[in-house]
Amino acid sequence: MTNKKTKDLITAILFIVLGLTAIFALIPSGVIVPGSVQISALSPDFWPYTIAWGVVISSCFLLLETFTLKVPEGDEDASEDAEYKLATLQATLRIVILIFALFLFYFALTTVGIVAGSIVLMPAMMLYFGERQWKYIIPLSILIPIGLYQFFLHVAGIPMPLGIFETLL
Amino acid sequence: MIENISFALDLFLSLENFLVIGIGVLIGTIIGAIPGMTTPMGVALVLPFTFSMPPVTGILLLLGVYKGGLYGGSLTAILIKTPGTPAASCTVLDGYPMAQKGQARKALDIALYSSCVADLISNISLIMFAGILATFALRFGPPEFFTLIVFSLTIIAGVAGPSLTKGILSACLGLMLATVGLDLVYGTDRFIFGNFELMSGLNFIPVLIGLFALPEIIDRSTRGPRLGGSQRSQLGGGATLAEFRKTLKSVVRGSFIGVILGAIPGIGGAPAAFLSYSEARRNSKNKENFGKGEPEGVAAAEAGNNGVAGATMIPLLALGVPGDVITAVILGAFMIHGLRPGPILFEDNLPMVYALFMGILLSSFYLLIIGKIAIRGFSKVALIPNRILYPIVFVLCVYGAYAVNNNIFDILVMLCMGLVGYLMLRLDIPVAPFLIAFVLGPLLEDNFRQSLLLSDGSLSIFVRNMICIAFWILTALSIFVLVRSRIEASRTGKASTLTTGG
Repeated sequence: MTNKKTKDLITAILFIVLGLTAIFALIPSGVIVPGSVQISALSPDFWPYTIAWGVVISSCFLLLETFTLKVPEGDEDASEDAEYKLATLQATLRIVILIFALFLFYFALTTVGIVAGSIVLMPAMMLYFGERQWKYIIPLSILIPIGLYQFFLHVAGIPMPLGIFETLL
Repeated sequence: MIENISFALDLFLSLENFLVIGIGVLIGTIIGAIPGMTTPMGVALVLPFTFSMPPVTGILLLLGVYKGGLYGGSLTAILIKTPGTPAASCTVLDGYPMAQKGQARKALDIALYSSCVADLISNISLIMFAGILATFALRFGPPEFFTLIVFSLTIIAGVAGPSLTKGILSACLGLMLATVGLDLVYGTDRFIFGNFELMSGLNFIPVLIGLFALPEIIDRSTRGPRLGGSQRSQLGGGATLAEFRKTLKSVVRGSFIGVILGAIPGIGGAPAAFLSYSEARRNSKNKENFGKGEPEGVAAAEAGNNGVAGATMIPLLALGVPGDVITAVILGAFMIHGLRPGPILFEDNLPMVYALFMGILLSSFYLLIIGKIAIRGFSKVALIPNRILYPIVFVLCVYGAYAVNNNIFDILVMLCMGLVGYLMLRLDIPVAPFLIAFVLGPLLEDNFRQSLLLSDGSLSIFVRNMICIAFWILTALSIFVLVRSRIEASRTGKASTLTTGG
């Protein structure tokens, strides 16, 4: 089975599970239907059910497509830096680390604020992506978050949350 | 008539008017190019400055911001795969691959020229056909809107990715996400699960940023650092006149698609951009290059997007009905100055309407000049190495997501959408149908339910006249053509020429 076929198969199964979860769990528990609904198509849960069934039916079509139609093969990775692609395990680990760091950044925002959070995150991300020249890392990591803060404050009139550093800027 | 034009010239010919249009286009271009800063936001921010201006000057300033914003969205779409507006997500399809191939300058030039031509055509159409198109648009009730949106979503689902089925799945996901919040009719909870932040639904800006910008950054993790140098050593040369001429047919076609869809209130630039793109590919000699960096794809998307600009003013000026959020703000500006757009405006203030037309025409030329300057500045972004660019883009996204509602929760929405977008990227599911369905979802459901309320629950209302029937036929035809193309692709083993990225 080709890579593209595998992807289509995973997509179909994933969406069937998603659609059925919506039909049997998410919609019954997440959509409140008032007792006064006279036309069933006007009920608050009609549209979500219609979409969820649409997902299930379309996924079945995709499943059928996967087994009956040939997938035209294109370039697997036509992007310009395909040669730099890492091995699966290493790539997965890097993705997990990045996602963990981004969510950690989000949870730190309420305490340290967007500006200080960004000043810490930017050099970490630059180092993570391979930048090693401190003459770029340090000034950019400080100037960009502060510059953006000033832009949004003075031009758009939107003050960014500063957390514990509220009194500094 | 001549007397009215003479009065209009008196109103229009002032240094102030010439300056504000340019300033407006410049502000709009900058705002459109910043992820998280939207054109409606820009128009709303500028609105207070118009209070003390004469009506024509104030409205021309807002129109300048509007037109600049529509174009500005394409700059970041091409350079960093972060569309400034939902409509610019169509420009990403070919614009970003062109930038990756070292043709950033050419893509930006093509986008600019197409935008200017489409804008001019749209403006001329506004002047010539305002009355006729407004009458046609007036015949659109909820069932007609519903069928039109179904048709638009089918086109978007079909052309935005490698397969129609995956496009439909993506659109369904977007429609489902759009149902989060309070129900439109009964006001009851839908998928809120006790989180009050979800009561007003999800804002489309964090969703847009998350879906388009973050997956690219996360995907970069799967690649090791480059051995020195920037990833794109050149921006490439600009587009020549001959190159642009090759795309002219698609630009003109896209402009008229934009004009027609723009004249219908509530539709906006995104369906116009995708429909124009789809038509350009269908008629192109280079079908197989679409989605891989085809200049005609960029031209068609931008023509459809900008063709809407003048046309959205048609229902506003002729009927007093705003076509989108931006024209709703402009309607507010009219009212602040004691004017009420609609047939009475044409009777009582015709010279003012003509003066606005003159300013609108001038804005197309300003767009060309300011766009050229903006390209010089912004195109350098493409030369920044990814290892420096991506952290900057991420921080910009965080600020942009927060700025929409001054709410940290929107940053979480953006991060979650980034994960969804990454998963979709890995599974070759196009994200554009998701986003457009998310934006059009409430409108689709609202029109569906309004139709059923009108007909006491009878579905026959959806085939009540020729407009509805025509849209159903077009939808069925689109599906037929896309399915046939997929079957042919399976037989020949070659990617379908009607879809992207196949």
